[in-house]
Amino acid sequence: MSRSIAPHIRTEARVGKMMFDILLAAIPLGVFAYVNYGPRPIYILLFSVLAAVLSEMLCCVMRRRPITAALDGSAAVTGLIIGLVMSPMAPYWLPMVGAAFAIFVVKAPFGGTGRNVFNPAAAGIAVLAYCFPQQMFTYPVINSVESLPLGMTVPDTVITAPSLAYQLGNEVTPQRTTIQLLLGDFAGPIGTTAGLILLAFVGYLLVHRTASPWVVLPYFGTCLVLTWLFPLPFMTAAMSTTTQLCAGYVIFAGVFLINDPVTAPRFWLGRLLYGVLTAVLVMLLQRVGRSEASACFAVLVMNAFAPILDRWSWYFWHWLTRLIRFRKEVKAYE
Amino acid sequence: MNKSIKVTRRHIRRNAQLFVENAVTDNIVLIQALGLCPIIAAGDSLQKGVALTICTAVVLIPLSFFIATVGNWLPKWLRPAAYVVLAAALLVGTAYVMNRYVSPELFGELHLFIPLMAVNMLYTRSIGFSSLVRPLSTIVDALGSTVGFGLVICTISALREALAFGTLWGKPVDVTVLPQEASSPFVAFIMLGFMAALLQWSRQRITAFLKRKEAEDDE
Repeated sequence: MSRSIAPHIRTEARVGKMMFDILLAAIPLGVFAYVNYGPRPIYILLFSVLAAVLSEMLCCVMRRRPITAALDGSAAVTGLIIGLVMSPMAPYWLPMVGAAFAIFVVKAPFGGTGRNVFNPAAAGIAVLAYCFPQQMFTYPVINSVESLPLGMTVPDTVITAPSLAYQLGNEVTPQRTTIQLLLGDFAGPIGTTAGLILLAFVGYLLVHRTASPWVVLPYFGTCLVLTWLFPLPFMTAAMSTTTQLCAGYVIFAGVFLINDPVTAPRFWLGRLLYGVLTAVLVMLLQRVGRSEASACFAVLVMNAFAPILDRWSWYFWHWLTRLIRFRKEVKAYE
Repeated sequence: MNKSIKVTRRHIRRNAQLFVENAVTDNIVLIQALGLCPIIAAGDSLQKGVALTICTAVVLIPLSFFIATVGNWLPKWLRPAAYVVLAAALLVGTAYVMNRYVSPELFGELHLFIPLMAVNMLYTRSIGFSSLVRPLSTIVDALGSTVGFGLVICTISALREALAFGTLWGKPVDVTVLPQEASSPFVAFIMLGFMAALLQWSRQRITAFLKRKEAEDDE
């Protein structure tokens, strides 16, 4: 086993396959959004992906690389992730700003695909959440209209609803059953509400080895344990677990943000720690910060620690195996 | 100290080099990463930037001179304490003048960052360097550091002020492109990163150019 520190350069073929796998998520989530809100979310996703790919192309031109390098899918994935957390009634420029920021500021200066320190999509979302909370976190009531109007901004006549995370922060019990929550029948962003679709998709990614089980399973396990151990005082225990998991970007981050092989640690023990610590941070920020996008901030913080986790866990494992081997040898000698 | 101080051409050249190094090429903020805190936390308008630069000059230059002249006579165990006391005295004086005669509002916003600056930059920078060289060099060094710090903080604070609030030195300029949140610390971090990258890049280009020229001259 070789030791390596977090930003890795993968081979081209592997990158293409992984990115294609993640881009597949656009189909079920796009259909889900189309059924609920009409064609507007599809346009948001398209604009977001387009902006990301165009920015990447511009970066390729600036760095004197062939333009086709921008089409390997990584930029499209960044754009897709940013588009999926938009509100269905967000103006079209919002995801484009986020995607451009992600590519120009977070990805390209560090050396492009495979060398970025922070997850570009998470950084883009974090900046949008910080700078444009009004446009980011205003969600229409699900199925309130046949389809949302397609103009640049949605008129005020659309009925809006507070998001789940906001309701929990203000100690309001959402009037939804567990099944409704899991099916995504509540107001929220385009792609983060459909809990069951996201969980099924994570299964697909695990089977295809695009997502590492060492990151995903500890993440979801820790989230589950934490919500079970610390239920919200103003509702029943079972309901509290489901609501906390469905609120904000908790499941979404587990599917799209922490699986980025570039910014996650590479050694299995480091990955396990990364998953557990990210989950702890996400649930903590969700409980204290009352923000939808707390998962993005948690992922960004953990990205900074990924190389250290990788190195320390490797040292620890090395030390442990050597200790065990030494003990065995001593025993055999005796 | 009895050596006769004769300013020769070599001295001038060395001091000029020292100044340029601290101000531009080995910029005290961008390359040596000192004094980041006031820039990120307090540098969100040009007025504050200039005020902080003046404070730096007022404290750093006398302190460096003191360290280079009197500092070496003091017993070693006393030196850090003496330096801190002097820095604090200078800071108190600056703060008093600022509060009394310049602008109490500005002082109210900056009063936390002036002492922070003392610890972060003045102290770390001047003690390591100033006790080793002649007084003139230390003054040049302090001046260079101040200019380097001032360049960076003024650029960043002017950009932040213009982009976020649409004003420059309190007067309206019509360039607002970002929401008000653009004046928050993370934008300053990103700007610093880009400026540092730009500086490193141009340094590399210049070094490569000089090498090429040298090789051509050799031929």
